[in-house]
Amino acid sequence: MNRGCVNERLAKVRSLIIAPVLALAVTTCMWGVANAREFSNKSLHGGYGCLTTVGFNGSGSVIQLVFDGKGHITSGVSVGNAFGEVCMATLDPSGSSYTVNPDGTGTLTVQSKTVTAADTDETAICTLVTGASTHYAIVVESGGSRFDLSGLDPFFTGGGFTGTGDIDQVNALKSGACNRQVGG
Amino acid sequence: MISKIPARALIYSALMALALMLGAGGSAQAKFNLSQVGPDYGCLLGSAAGVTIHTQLMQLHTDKKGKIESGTLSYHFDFVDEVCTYTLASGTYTIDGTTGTGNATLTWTFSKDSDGDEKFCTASFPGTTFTENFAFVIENSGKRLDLAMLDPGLSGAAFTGTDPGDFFTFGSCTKQ
Repeated sequence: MNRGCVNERLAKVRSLIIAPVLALAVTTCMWGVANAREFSNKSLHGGYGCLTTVGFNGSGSVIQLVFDGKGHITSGVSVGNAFGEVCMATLDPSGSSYTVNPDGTGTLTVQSKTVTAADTDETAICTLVTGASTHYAIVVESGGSRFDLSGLDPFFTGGGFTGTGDIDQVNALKSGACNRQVGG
Repeated sequence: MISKIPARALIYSALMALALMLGAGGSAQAKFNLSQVGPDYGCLLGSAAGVTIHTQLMQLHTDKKGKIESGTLSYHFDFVDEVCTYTLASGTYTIDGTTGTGNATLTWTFSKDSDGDEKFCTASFPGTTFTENFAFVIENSGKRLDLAMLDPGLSGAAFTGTDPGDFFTFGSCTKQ
């Protein structure tokens, strides 16, 4: 076998190795670009189920919200439990909204409309939150099929929450997650 | 003439597809039903208190028709580090077809203690037999449920008086 033939074969082997490695590199690069997802209000649409709890006391809520993909929340219901006292609420679409930034962070405001007490000893609590708005910071995950949320300060405004400054310390640490009800 | 029929068919097909797409978009909020709950879940619930009162680990089996057919509950009392086990005596659930929210009622019967020093489970809290009431919401087409205790949350056994069963427990169930 002459040297020229050997060199030709080596060149073929090199091209066989280099070509797939290059292809892999290009694919990996494109994959990275493809995953640089940009989020918007469209990222949240349809029904979501949520669980939120307060870290330092016995309060939590199961919530259902419907997003329209345009910054509006069109309907929703919730069951909130504070130390065993339970209020059931419906959402007021006119005072409820959300925003999603390109990086997936955003805000969520949910205003209650009607609030029903489970029995007579939570009437005062339920009256307090009637017409009140709750405010959350959110971050979208899994392409919009889930988002985490954490209470902002002030967490409550309106309803029975009046005054200025820290009017809502008890609820400021409310946090949780919402998952799309269909799919996922 | 022959060439017009396929053209019409194409137009009709396109219009029908568009109508279906619009219909699907219009009913983006899907309807829910009992069959979306089940058949088997693992659940972890607990109190959301700084000093945790309890956690409860459950396995539930539904018939997907509104009945919870079987289940086990491992009740961990974190303030005394004791564990009691219960077996499901009966269970039911409901679903709101529009919102995907519902209620679940679970009645538990004491099964066994862990190492013999959990007599308080049957003597006082939660008792030999007790019932829990939860609100829940369907997520991921029933793969996950989030739960919050209702009022009354607990009934039976030690939960007597004019306003019994004020209790708080929250958590999630994930399809097995």
